[in-house]
Amino acid sequence: MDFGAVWPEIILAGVGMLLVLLDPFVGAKRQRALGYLAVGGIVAAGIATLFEPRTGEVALAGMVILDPLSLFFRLLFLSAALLVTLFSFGFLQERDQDVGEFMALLCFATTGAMVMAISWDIISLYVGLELLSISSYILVAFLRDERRSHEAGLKYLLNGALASALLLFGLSLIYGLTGTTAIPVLGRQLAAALGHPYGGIVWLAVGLVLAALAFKIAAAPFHLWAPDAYEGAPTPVTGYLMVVAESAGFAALIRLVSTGMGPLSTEWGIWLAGLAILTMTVGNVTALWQQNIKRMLAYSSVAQVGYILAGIAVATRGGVGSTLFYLIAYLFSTLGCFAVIIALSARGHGEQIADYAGLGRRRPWLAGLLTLFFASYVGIPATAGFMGKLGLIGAAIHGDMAWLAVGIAVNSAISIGYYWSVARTMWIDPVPEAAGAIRASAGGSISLVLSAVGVVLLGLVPQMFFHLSQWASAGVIR
Amino acid sequence: MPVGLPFYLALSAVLFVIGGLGVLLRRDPLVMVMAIELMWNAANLAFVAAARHYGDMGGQVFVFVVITVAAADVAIGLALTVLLGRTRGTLDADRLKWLRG
Repeated sequence: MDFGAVWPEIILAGVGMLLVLLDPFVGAKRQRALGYLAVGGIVAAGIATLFEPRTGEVALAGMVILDPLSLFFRLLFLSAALLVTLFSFGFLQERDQDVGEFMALLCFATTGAMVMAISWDIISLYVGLELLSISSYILVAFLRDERRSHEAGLKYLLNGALASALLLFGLSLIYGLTGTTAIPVLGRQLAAALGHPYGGIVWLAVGLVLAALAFKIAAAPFHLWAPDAYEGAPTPVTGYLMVVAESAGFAALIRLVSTGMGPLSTEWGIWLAGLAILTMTVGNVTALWQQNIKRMLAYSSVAQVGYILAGIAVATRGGVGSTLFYLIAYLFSTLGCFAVIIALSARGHGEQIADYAGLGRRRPWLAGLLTLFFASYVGIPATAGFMGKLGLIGAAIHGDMAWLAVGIAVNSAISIGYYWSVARTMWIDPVPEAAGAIRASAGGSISLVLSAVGVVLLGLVPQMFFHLSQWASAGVIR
Repeated sequence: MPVGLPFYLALSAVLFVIGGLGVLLRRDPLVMVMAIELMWNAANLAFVAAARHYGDMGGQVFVFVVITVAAADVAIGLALTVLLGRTRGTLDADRLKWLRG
């Protein structure tokens, strides 16, 4: 067996297991060292990724593929994990939480996401998905003395397990129709099975798989669990799930649907386009009424998922490329927002939008950066989000779905409403009497600066990233 | 008449629907987890039957993986249920009022 193909995953999982082993022997004061170990593991896995082949060779008995897309998603997940690790330190220590355990779960979840992205067989795809999901259930319920966190964990688990059941049943039907678990083969077999007298089952199977993945990326109408789980989870975990868990869902969509079910793309393209429009509209309209900033960002992330889905729905190489570019933009904007929120949230304080009153006068830099990340979400020129949306709209027009482009534009206009209301609170409202403490930890500041640099770089010099995402999408549409 | 693949698939579809109804109609997290397990096992039945039909090992391997994952999933589910039952004294999913969808 050629285990060299999965060195990054082996390193990251190994560091995770090492953390679990060491955790009981490290005193409360030295827990920081375990965090540094996790950072080292993530960086080492990133370096190992750069040495992996990227020519599309298939390894481990057909289970994984090493192509440009694998490289892209591995680096995307590792960068997100690194930023989350950096701003988790302060958050965990302030609440006397176990750093080692948290970091170990973060490593396992990231390994799962990476396995999903490199999978070339529905078995490895499923294993990666479950490794990511099960680690995330524990991460959501991580705060031992907060009931809200437990409830969010249980809700996430019930919904996640239900989604897995839909996915499994859909995959079992596909296997029953085609007799293969290999992603590159099953599309052709499914297209052939359409002609059989029981061809209708193909649509049932494809529909179940799409619904399950829509659950995982929190696309409407399967998004109802997301605001609850995202609000109750520890704040760094919310940022992690929004970026890594959802991007991993998109990686599975690209592998299984764009590539695997490519021969059926004219049919599922329309379904996904409808899902995209519904998702962005529901997310944006519901976000207008939110009082809690984490809940507002949860609905805003539902809306962002709608935009990203549009790139996959058009089923062209350009569409997948702009999806990948938007995922990078989404990573930096989201994790930047969460770095600010974590700096503001002392115990139970700083989660309401009203708590942001007068932030512009108290900490102009924090307020300015949060405004920058919101501008990127809306798609103001010279930010990452603008270039990302430009790419998606261009892909929709080239893919003969101009109405999808109109939907993205109209929704971006709606979204200004809720971002503006937070910006107005920060810059115009007076500072309240009992304002909570603001503590930006060193790690938090580093990830804040890195995210801001990312957002500005993608907005001002996007060419390099455009080339990267177009290169990574090369083998997707066959 | 020999019992072929369509019969197994039909049985697994019935099991899947029963499990799905259980999730939708019951409000006890413990029972909901059990119902979801039934849905997973419906898929397992379809996998094994299809693997036998095609003489392919892939489906059987998949079933072993699913069984292992299901055990891990249930372990987390039970732990969370016990934790919530202790702190709140109720196991009714509708009474989990802290968060509303």
